[in-house]
Amino acid sequence: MNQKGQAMIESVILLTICTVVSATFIQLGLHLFSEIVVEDLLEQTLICKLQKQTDCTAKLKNKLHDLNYTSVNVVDRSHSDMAKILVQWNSSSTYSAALESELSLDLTVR
Amino acid sequence: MILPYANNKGFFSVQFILIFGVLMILLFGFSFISFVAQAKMQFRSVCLTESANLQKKIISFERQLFLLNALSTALDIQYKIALAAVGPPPGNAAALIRVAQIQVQQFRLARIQRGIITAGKTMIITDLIATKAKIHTKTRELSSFWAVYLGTVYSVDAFRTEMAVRPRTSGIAPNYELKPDYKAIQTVAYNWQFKYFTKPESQKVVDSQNAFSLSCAIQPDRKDDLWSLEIQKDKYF
Repeated sequence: MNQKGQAMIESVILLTICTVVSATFIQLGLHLFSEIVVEDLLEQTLICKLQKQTDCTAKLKNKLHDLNYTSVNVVDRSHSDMAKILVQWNSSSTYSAALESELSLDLTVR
Repeated sequence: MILPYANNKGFFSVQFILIFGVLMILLFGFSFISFVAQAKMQFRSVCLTESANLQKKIISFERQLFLLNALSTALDIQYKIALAAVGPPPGNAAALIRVAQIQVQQFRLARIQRGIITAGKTMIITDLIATKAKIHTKTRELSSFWAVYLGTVYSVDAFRTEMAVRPRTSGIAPNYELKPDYKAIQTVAYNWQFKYFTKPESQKVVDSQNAFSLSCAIQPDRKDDLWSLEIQKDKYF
């Protein structure tokens, strides 16, 4: 009698845990990466909105599509001196995310 | 050779420690990426807000200065009329007194004009220093969380912002106007350089160092008498 069977079961359990945790970490990494990219794009869009330029949200949508994000939904909640945009997107069939960002800056001089 | 007391009990523990270590390194990496992103956003937010505030203050000083142009012109006209009334030497005594009175007013006006310009310049210097300190403090607050693992070096530079005004006319108290290249001269801009490196103790696990810099700038824009601000990204320094 030995403990080889026990070691094998432990290995299988460990392998399963490792696979699940690794997958979670990879997803976390991807999520983080896409959030950083979208946050940067959002910031450009907020500045664009504050400067009263046109087609800011359309440009954002195009850039997100260029990054192969699907189901992109941009909700513009800006008013007067505050630019506020909500973005929802899918980067894969299983992963969807949303990010809202706002920037208040009065560029008019009274 | 298999020792009689050997078994596989430690196998799980060794594997677990290895995997736990790798996961910790990954978690550390992700957290640091979040920190960098947060630090960048924080800089941009402070930079844009403070630059816009300073730009508005500068414009306010310039407006005060330009408002005095009407008085400057009026005094100049009065001076020329009074001077014409003096006539050939020894000159009309009443007109000479009037010329002297106007000159006194012009000197007073010139003192006010210089006072506005000096106050504007002083305000710019103190404001730039205060904002640099604010960015430093915010970055330090964020970095302190990582101080155990990471060494961070950061610096904030401010663009040499000036009040872009110049005399338009000659005389004791001239009219003032904006310089032709006022947008470039009066730009308020900050550059933030951030460098991090793993400390010697942490280098046994992860040896990493990196540096990046960010800038933001706000320029004034004047169309007729309407002022507005323009955001410029990463175009200075």
